[in-house]
Amino acid sequence: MASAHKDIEKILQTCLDSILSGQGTVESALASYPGLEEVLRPQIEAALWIDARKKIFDARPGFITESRKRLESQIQKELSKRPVRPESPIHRFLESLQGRKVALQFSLVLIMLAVFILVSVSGVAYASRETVPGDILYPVKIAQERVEVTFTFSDKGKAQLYTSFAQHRLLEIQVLVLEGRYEFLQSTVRQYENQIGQAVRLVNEVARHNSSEAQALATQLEEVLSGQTMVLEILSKAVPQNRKGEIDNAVDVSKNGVMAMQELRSSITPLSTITPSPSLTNTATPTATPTPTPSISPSPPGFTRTLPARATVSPPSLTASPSAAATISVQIPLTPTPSLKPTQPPAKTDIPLPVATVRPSDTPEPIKTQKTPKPTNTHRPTPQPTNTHHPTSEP
Amino acid sequence: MPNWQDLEDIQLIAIAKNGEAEAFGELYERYAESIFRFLYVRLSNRLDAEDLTAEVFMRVWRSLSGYREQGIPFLAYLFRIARNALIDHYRSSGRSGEKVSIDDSPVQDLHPDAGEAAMTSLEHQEIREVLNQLRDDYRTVLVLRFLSELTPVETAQVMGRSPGAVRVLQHRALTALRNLIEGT
Repeated sequence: MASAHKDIEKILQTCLDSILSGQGTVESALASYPGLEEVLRPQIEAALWIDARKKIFDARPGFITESRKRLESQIQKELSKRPVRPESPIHRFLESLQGRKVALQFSLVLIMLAVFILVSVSGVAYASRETVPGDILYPVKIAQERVEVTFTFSDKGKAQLYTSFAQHRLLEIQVLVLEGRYEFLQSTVRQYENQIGQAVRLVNEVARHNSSEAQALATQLEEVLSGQTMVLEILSKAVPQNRKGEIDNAVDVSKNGVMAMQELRSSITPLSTITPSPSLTNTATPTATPTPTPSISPSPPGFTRTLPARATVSPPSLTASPSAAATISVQIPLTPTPSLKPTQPPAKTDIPLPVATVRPSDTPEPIKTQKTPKPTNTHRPTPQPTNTHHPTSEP
Repeated sequence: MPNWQDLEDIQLIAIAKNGEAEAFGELYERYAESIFRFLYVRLSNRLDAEDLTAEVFMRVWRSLSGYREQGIPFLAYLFRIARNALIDHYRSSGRSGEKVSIDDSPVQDLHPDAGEAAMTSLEHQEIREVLNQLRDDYRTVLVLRFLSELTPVETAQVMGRSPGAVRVLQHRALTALRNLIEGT
């Protein structure tokens, strides 16, 4: 049955070839296969139905000739814009061997030998530094980068490495575009995007542990990405239309990276820049911490980021009346307690992080601090609050 | 200047790779009609098909340096790019809701008879409606064989199948088409 089907298909093809080429008619073709007329006729008629309508799909008269001229003219324009690609010595050497199979094989052996020697003297890593995708030594460059990542153990170091690798990829993209080697463009752009993604992720990781380092890394990455975005936007205009999408994707990734770094920086900036200052006490309003409960929330929104929540759980407010809360609640975190005295540096030393001065671990336990202040008498949590430890009291 | 018409495709490609626009123009002249029909049967608008035909050949030109004769035949390469261009066109049209620019197409000069144009357009729509009811591979084999006028071997190369598989597909596609025609 299967072979009969195959025969039918072959016979149908033979009939169609004969009819469509004008060598035979439907009847003459069917007459050659008397037993198959019933099967073949509907098929042939269907083929003739569509064949008869092919004229509808013809191009307009003159279209091909006219559009050919436009096409040739457009090609000439593109050729005039195409940069002259400098040929490498290796390329010239291989060109000179073109057509000579034995010589080419011999040259390939020589090249492989040369590569081997380079590897053995460890010069290959250096030689691969300037390579771009498609070059023989390019995989060595990539392998070297992987090794660097493997042997870098800190998130900060890895973030810096990926930022640097992304810069390499961008340079390679530029070379590929300049030389018209678009076949490697997509993979290089993807690597670039991946490395930007890794750098952004790692900077965020660093931010979880060390805000000042993350701040520096974010600033660095943001600057690099801003520059890269500009370069990519220029490249996007230089590449052919069918390659534009790839570059535009890279532009988007780069811009997203810039935005991510800006957001990260804005989220960690207050912690690292605000120091205990007079404004903290001056700007506080009486409504900031009016509640007389120990679980008092960290007062005004402006302070919530600058001071850890526990630092503002001020024992004096337990007994402070609402009218006195203005001075009490704000000054308490900076007020010296017996336990803090030996370790607290003077305010004039300009400590960058308020976190350091009011670390939760340094705060006294509620039982102890409740004993020391007597707010009902002085409206102050401690007898000597500002003279010794308040930032303003020092020159 | 060589007589381009006497040269084989492979020779023209080699010359075109060296920056000879006219050699590529000859390739265009040879295959533009087939590509145009392949595209036009999938588009509702003749002008879109014309623009896209030009776009396909520009894409082929730009990627010609990467083309190797040992890979796929030039015709198959051409149709593959045409198919990709068609997909891109669908995407961009779907996204923007706009048609491809037709500013530089001198359609009025070449098609003076508006009545004939309307009739042709109507028939074009009818055939498209019939073909659109077919499975995609059935439609493709019929278009390549009977509209783009490719041989069974060329059709097989374009579709990436064996000539035997194409014959089977053609047989089934014609059966399906016959049923549709009878039904209308």
